[in-house]
Amino acid sequence: MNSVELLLQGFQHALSAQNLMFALIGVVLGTLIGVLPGIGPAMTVALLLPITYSVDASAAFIMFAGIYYGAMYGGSTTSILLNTPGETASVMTAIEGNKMAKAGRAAQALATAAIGSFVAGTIATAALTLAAPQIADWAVSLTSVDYFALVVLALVTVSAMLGSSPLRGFGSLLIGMFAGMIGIDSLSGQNRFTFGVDELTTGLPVVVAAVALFAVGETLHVAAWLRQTPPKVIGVSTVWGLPKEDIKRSWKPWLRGTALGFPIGAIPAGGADVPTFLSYAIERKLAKGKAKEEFGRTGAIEGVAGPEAANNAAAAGVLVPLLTLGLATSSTAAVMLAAFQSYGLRPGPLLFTSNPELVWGLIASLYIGNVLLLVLNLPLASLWAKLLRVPRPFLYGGILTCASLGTYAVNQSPVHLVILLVIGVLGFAMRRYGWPIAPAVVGLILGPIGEENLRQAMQINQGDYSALVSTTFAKIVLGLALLAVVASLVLRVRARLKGKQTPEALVGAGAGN
Amino acid sequence: MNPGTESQNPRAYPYLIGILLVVAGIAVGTQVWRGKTAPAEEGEDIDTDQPTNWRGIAVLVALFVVHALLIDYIGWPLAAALLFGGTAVTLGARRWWAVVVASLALPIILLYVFTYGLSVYLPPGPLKVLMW
Amino acid sequence: MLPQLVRRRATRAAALLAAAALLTGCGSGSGSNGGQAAPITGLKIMAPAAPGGGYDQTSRAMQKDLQDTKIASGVQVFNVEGASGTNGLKQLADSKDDNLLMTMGLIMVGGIQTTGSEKTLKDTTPIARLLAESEVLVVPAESPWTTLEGFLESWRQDPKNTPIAGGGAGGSEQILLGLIADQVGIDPGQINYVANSGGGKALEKVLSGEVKAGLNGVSEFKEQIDAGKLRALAVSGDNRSKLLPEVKTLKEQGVGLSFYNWRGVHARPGLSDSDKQKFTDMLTRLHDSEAWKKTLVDNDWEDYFLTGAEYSSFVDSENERARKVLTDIGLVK
Repeated sequence: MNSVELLLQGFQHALSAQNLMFALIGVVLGTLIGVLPGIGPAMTVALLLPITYSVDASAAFIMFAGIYYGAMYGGSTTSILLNTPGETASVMTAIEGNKMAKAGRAAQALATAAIGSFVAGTIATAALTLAAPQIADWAVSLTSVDYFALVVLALVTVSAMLGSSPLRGFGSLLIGMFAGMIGIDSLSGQNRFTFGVDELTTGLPVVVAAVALFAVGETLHVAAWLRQTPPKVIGVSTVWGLPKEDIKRSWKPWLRGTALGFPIGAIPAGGADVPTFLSYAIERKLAKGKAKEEFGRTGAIEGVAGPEAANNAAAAGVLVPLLTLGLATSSTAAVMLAAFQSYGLRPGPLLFTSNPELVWGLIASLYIGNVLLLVLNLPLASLWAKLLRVPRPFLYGGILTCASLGTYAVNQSPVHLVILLVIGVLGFAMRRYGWPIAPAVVGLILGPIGEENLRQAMQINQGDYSALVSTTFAKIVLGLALLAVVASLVLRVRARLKGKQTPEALVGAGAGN
Repeated sequence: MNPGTESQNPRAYPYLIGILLVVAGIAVGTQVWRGKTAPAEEGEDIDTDQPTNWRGIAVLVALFVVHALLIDYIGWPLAAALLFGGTAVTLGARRWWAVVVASLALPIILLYVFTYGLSVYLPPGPLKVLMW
Repeated sequence: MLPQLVRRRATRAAALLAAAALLTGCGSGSGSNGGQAAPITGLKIMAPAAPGGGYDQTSRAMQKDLQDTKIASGVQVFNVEGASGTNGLKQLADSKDDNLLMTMGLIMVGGIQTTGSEKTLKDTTPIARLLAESEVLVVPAESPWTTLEGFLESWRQDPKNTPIAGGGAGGSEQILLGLIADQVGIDPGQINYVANSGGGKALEKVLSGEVKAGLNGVSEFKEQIDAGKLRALAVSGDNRSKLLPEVKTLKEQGVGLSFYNWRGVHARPGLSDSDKQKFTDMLTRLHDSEAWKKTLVDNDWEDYFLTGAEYSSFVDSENERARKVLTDIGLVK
């Protein structure tokens, strides 16, 4: 059966009343948390992990994907109207978008963001539809040496590219990898770092760790430094569409953003954030005439259209390694990987043949989700904007309550609530002293995968470490990892010489959601 | 090493991570000692120009511990109401009636959504009377 | 592999049922269901592993069929994960609860050895053996070996360069591989065994061709064997598997051993003889029911029922066999 037929069956599955309802809940929830400060898609999916005990897998993933896409749409609203991005990937949108809003063009900024997200999301989902099965077919031939190289690439890029201090990013990654070792070692059956506590032999629960780092850490961080002045939200009237002139200026950045976002998201490196600042840099370079004048002054629409398209395309791209290789490169993807594991499902080359209904239903739901999101975000933008004024004491009280709920609902154990608090305090300390959160979460999930493949590669090759570069694929991937480290160092040194902030440094501000 | 147990040696990888952690720790320590600290993470609701509110953090931590201990006795919704209300007041909520209404409404709504919508069990405590 | 979540998926339903049973006066001893023995109540079954695994599936199948056949009512199932099942074993060994049963099996027998658990199956009361799964030895479709004999010959010549993938360390696949090696004259200490934290991963290793062969439960590999991506060389049981009727057994091909990954049920240590008899009767009735026969077929399980003193001595012999081979391999000192 070819992809088109499978996709059509996927649509049939995704359009069932139950799945459609979960898709709708997902995109509404996603937009909501995208707009709201202090809560992001990774945390939301983590909080909802308990539903994996009662809801079937297709429905749950359709909802999670809706949250993931929705948060990308919602994040732009916050960036444009409040100038403080809610998600890492929306940082670039804030630069020009907020200037446009201040100059009275908030509606156009919101519209180009929403339509650009729709265009990019749809094209990228189509690319995912075509590419993923091919990649899955090919990935069957990957060996543990190749997988180990891929994990190294993902880990290196996540820690080197995010945050203002690559050293702290690396430290954060190692903390996550250490936490991932706690529990019974699956290959040898030995306990590691359990300190005689029976509860720890099953490992540190991913839900608890993720919810603690994101939700509890963020709430404590806010408690330490809550802004006392009310947020300055720029008002906006109902948005119906985009004037012809703005469409003319937007469509090329949309396509360029998509072309950057999908491939970069799809290689297991860097996740969804890198392409947004690349897109911004390119649009700024290409700007001519009126647009060139607007960039950095009154806000150029190209600077909103490009990064927004890039971030949605990358979100679809990130699903490629998640589904075909079982590798996560963003914290949201990492939590979704935990959800797969909680169902006893194993994302990887065989998922497409062993669970076609789930995979194709999920992909079909992405198309549906994009349409729903366009409808939700264009005319309702002014409604979402009201959410920006939600009283902060209630918002963070709610976040903390949901953190308790997400943890307690899993196994009704007060012990886990205590673990939640302890890791939450760690999350606060990391935020306060400039350690990014995302590498810790990715390290927690990818670390054990890397270890298993490393040990198997060693077993198969009888302890010969040179085997780790024995395949062409591994050589290329490890080369890319090295390149990422060097590039990140060079960029930083150059930026320091010039004495201005790099896009990476800006991204660091929001890293963690 | 015995070829049969290479992949089953649980020690090597923890040592590697441990060594790297120590190295990274020393490197960060050196940076900080030389005066190169990293800025705290920023956010919509963060204003790092003010002094740190350590008291607020201590109150939230204490609230959370009390919440965790009370669940077994008064059920999740009431313990959650305490957590929510306490957090809101700590973060500066002043309209007491709004705090009370929200503190009771949110946990009860969540109780219904999780119990009936998602079939995830939460101990209702005395609120059992509201369940059917 | 990764930290798994502790789940109690069906316990809520079970609790509801239990509550319902209590409310309705709980027919225990009322003798109102026409000649049949009254349903056993208050039974708890522990699955000493994560949800979704073999122990979990077995426990939940028992729960469902015991209740559907009215042999028991209000049966609860819960999971105690970790340490190759020995966390659960510890809990059972320390328990004073006469109504607590634990599913267990060959993997726990191996796990007790490799983890050096202080509690062993001697600290429990064996009730019955229920079912078994046959293992299948496969090679990638593009590999040169078409017969078991051909593969064993190359393996014998260079065991170190013949990596073979299976499940976790000390589990049924590694035990079986050690037994085969021993039988055909290969030093078990020389086996290059690639442990995996699940059948799906072992499958990927074989498909990518980085290991020379793979060993796993018949149902794990069946799909890829039928699709022509894997070549099955032998199944481990006494008889051919119903799932792969054309694949010969080890015995048929001159390797004199039969092997099953079996599962059974144990209770707390020091259980009274009358309670032991009650559970033996309960499981015998379950075994004889139509519902259980259908469950076996639906799950690709083979009927492997045994009780009483025969079962106790079977456990002892399996324990001895596992200990010997794991010592030869070098996993148990």
